[in-house]
Amino acid sequence: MGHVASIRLYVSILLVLLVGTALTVAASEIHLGRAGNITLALLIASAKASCVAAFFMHLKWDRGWIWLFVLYPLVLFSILVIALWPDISYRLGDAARALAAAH
Amino acid sequence: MTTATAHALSEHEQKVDRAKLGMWMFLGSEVMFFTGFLAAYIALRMSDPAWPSGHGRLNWPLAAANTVVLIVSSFTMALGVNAAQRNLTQRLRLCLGATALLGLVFLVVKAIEYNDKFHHGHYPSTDLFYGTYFLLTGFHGLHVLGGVIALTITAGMANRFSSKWFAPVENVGLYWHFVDIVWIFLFPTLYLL
Repeated sequence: MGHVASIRLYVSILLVLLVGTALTVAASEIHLGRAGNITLALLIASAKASCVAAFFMHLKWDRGWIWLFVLYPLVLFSILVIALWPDISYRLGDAARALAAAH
Repeated sequence: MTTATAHALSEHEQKVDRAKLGMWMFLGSEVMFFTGFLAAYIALRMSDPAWPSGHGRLNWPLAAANTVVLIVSSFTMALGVNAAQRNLTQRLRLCLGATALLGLVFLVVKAIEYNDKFHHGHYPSTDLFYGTYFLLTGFHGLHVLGGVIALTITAGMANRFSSKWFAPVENVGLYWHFVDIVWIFLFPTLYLL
């Protein structure tokens, strides 16, 4: 029947997630530049998602095959996003040239 | 405990594990489903230096409230699985019902938000910003709707579960937490950045 966690643990995770949401909103009010704000927002979101996965989804107590099905899609996701880079830089170059031509 | 019962127990536990493994495989395919849309969003957004910030265009306080609703619903879901593990049928039904209700609140808030956008003439066809906004929040909303239906069915079956067998509760829970995780990423990306 799996690991039985205490209600107190779930309450603390709930509080962490609520504080995380407040932090997400607060972080967007600080101006760190485009890249800085995106990085900070994704870091907070990843921390929150990890809390949900580890405790609410019981991954902390799961072993074996389940981890394969957790990690494999994450690896595929990373590969796909990294593979976008040439496309993005090519289109950015086009956009910059179009902007220069307009002026 | 005799060897025979020990064997039967482990076989039963294996069956539960297989159901759970199946759900994790499905969630893996769900990650890839959203990856396709997210990749399109990332490529379109990052290659456009003039992409507008969602902060000024979307109702972020409403979305922040919805984030809290979904997080609390994940909490009630976790309590539900915990109640099943402890053989507390009444509490299990209550937790599943509360989770479904919070999911419904999320959808109502989403409907208010969409209605407001339509009222101001913002449709998926307006521009790429609204196109990707409706695509990502729309498919996420459909996932919430599916979860609400599954949670309602599971709540109705609550008296059939015990600490010995509650695989459907565990699996609807895993699905629900996944939908919560997707929103945890969508909220800052679409509404705040």
